[in-house]
Amino acid sequence: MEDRESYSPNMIRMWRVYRTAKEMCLDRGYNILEEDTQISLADFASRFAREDGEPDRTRMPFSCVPSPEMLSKYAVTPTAKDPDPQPAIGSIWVEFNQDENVGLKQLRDYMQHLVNGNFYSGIMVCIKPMTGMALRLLRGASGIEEGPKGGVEVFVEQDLLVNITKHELVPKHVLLSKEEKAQLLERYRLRETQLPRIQVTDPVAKYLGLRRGQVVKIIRKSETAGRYASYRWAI
Amino acid sequence: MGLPGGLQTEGSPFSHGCHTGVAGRVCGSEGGLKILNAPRQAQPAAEASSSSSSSKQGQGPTPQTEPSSAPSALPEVSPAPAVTAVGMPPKSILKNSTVPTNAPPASKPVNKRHLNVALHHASLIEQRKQIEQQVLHSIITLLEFPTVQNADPTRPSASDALRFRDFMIPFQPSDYDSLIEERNIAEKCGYALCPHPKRQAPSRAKKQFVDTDKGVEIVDRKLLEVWCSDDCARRALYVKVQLNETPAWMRQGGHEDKIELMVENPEDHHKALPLRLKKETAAGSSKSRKDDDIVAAWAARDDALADLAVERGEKPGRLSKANKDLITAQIRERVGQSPPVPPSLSEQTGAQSQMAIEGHVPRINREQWQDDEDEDNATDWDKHIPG
Ligand SMILES: [Zn+2]
Repeated sequence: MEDRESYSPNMIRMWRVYRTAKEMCLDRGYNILEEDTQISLADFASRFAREDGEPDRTRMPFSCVPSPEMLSKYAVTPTAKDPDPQPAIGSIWVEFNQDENVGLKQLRDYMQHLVNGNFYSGIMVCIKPMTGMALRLLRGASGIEEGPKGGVEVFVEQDLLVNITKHELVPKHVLLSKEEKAQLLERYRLRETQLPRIQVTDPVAKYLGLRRGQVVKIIRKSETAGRYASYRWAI
Repeated sequence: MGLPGGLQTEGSPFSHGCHTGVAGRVCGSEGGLKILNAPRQAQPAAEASSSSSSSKQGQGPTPQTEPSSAPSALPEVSPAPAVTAVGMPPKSILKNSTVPTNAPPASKPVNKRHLNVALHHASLIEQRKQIEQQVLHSIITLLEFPTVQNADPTRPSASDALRFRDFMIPFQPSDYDSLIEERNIAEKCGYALCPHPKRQAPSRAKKQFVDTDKGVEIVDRKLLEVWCSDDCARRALYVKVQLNETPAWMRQGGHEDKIELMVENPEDHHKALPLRLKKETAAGSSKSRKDDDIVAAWAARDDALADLAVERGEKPGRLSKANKDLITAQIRERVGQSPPVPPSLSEQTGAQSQMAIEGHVPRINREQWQDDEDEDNATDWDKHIPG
């Protein structure tokens, strides 16, 4: 183990946040090197420490692109109008904001940056929760002309200190592709509205970046029933 | 066949309940119950006539099966005829009226009143959404205010002032606070018509010392860094007290009073607009200093009353109901029945009042008082003793 005494508490905190952010992108299906998610505290500090020993968030942003499996998961069913549609996913930009208060100004600057950089979507990690108005913009932003296509997600550093999906009581959530969802509904003769639901604000749903209308398969281990699957419709 | 386990119907504590309370509730109440319906009432039907095609309708999903390896769930139901063999056709204890969830809902005559209520609430929600978006976009626009170069908060340009006042109509005080917050985050003075940056506290400490008329006060740094000057604070809050507390989508009638601004160039703005003339304009007249002071004092009082009235939600300039009630209220004096009597010590406690505790003389003290008397006697008696 590393000698944690020699690092500032903020550095250790930021190291954990950074690792969770990387793990999150990996779990979503982006191309991330496994060892990236396991960066050691010493390596992290040498890369991102300022002279005063505090983490420099401006050097931490990273981007990644979806893996082929992820692309197929987000494939859009072709229609007569659009026989060869683009998958509903693309490159993502993850940024760690360093401002104590984040409001409309920072959020709009960030959106502009995503649009200029041709990113499909973005994740903004803030020190503290955003202002109410910024959240209001975010809520209405999916589809707004000024933002990126895939929208912006916002996390508070606190949310990423621990990777909640690693907790033993959190079952495995697997996103279904459009096709898999259609098969599920067909097989059980269901309409999607008849499925149990999961809110997109649910921590695991946020972690996976679920969008409204998607279906996740939840796999739990049961002592009596072995592996046990259920499905939820994101709302 | 039990109830299908494949679809979790209750808000399960482990799927996400362990870290959120809300999602579980939604799942249990809406998504879950609907599904629960189907298999329950389908089961008796299947027992009665397992070959009936109607039983297919209600087939719930079966546990642990993957969508890909999926034969129809029908065979699993067939073993039921054990009951039929005895010759007692099972009777459903469940209501017959339920229809399979996949069937189209039975067309009920629409209750006109319920429909209207539903439509009313739907339109309220829609209006609310629209107004929230409108407020948001107003704030985004006001972040860039004032639009003219070298603007002066005391003398805003006519177009900026007009737009600002238009923007303020749907605002609630809390929206106005958001505007100030957002402008502050953008390092600007909280007053939308002021181009200056917000004031910088002398240090980065959380609490700051401030010199006021009453001496030094300790204030949050955040409070200190809201405005560029006290004058802007006054002008900005003058707008805030006029804002309507009622959400715009709940307000009655379409008529909205525009808010007033504190400006010093009323001549630049429209005559018809209700702009407040600052008392400084009267100072130029030839009246004596003392008269000016009196006029200013009265004007200040009127302003304060008007502000208070607005804060109470009344229309400025109108005599309020509350005022009338105050005037008509009768004040009755309590009339004394007997002539006043000077206070006097009661007979009982008079002699030992110094021992009394709230009028009561404890026994122990009473005895001591008697002892004192005895002692006096004793000394008297002593005097007779020579020596
Ligand atoms: Zn100012």
